[in-house]
Amino acid sequence: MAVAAAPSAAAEPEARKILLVSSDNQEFELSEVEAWQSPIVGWKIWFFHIGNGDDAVDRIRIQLMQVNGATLAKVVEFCKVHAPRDAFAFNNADGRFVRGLDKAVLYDLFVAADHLHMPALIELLHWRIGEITKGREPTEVVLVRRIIKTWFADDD
Amino acid sequence: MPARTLASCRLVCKSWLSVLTDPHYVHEHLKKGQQKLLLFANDRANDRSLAMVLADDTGSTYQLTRPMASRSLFVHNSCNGLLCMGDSTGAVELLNLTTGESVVLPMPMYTAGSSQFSPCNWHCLGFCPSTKKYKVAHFYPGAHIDSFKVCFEIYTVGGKAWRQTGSFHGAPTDRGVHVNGAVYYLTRFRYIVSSHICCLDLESENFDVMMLPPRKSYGGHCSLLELERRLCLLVVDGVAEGPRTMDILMLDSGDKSWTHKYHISLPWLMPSCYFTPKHTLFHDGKIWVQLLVRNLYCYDPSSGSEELKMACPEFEFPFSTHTFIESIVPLRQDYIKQIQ
Repeated sequence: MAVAAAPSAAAEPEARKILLVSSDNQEFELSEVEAWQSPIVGWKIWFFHIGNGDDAVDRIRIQLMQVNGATLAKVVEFCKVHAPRDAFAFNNADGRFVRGLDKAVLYDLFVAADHLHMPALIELLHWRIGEITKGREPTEVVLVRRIIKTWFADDD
Repeated sequence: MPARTLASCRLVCKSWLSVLTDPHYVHEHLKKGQQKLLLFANDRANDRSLAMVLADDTGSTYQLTRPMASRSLFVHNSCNGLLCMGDSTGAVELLNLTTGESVVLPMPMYTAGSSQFSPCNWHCLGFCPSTKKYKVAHFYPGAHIDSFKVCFEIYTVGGKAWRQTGSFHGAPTDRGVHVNGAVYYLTRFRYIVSSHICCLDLESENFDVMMLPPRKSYGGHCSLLELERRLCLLVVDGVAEGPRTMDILMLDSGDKSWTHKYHISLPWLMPSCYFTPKHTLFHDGKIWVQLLVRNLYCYDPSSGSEELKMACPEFEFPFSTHTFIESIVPLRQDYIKQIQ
């Protein structure tokens, strides 16, 4: 068996850097621990070597065709802000992150978080959407329309 | 007799202990029990874990006061009243909530990336109906060269160590479920032609592969769950902005064909990928679905409406949902043997 690495390499994930590339070819670097907050990305990391032979690499490049550069920037920022903690332990740093988002980005980020299977980010966005729409009528159809309306108007 | 009473009866004398820990008796008692819904939550502020039984006539709450600050405890799955618990260090523990017994398993082979959500490192507790033995199956990544392989090791409750049972071509994209003595998992995130279900029989410790049934529309997010003691496939179609629908297909007892059982419409802006797989449960004639970390929804098949309604007000803590049944399944085999 050629590579001595096998089990020990699998047990040292922190050493590797992950390069996430958006649909419009913008690149963002993060650590493997941060990237694993998306199981979709994690799965691609796991199978990276299928297409790349057995050369040991310290940088893994993954392209996500469903996410554009502006949105991926925010996904990566969330991963870095949130990484050290448990999934649903939110604090002020997360609050600052999500309150600093433009409404248009908020919407795209929700779609991206859903696509990338990130429960923690979804929870945070849901909370923020609840904050923005507080005091409005409770029916769900109206909720969605008002969110879209407030995203593209400046009445909030 | 209620399980908790039986648990204390074990201490009366040796012959009672013998009867009450006999696997056959334990299993017969289990079959008569009512299946309930359990919510498992971590209350960090008070450094404790809570296990709340929902819609129980007696309003049971089991509080586990365990030091939590240094561990993030979660439940991998539950089986016959036993909870298979894990933490971020990769350690595994089995707990019988009714009797309070627990046993810490020997450290597994692979511990990196242990979390509530990881499809690359997960444990599944199961039961072998013919031998009445409980086993924990652990799935973890194989070596880099052959990366579509998943390795697995099995620990038989009462045994000394994990057995490295081998590897298999077909890595999971999601954590598996246990149904009737077998562990099932999916190999693709979406419902596409190449998706299939891998199945590990806990008795024989052999693998098998099952293709998904053909469908009118492909690309939806799919996951596995157990309903009414059968393996079910849950498919979520639609986009994030909505509307989204959820279809539940059930595998028949011969393991051959799938029946479409339920069609449910989801509330707006609900994610497709969430706790839905193993935490969609049948209880009290309704289907209970956890859609966000603090919200439980409920679908009533007899109501005539396709909608999921919020089942109760938002909870204080994030939780996970599991089927639960009060049981006296013994865990401390060494202790029992000592007494006998």
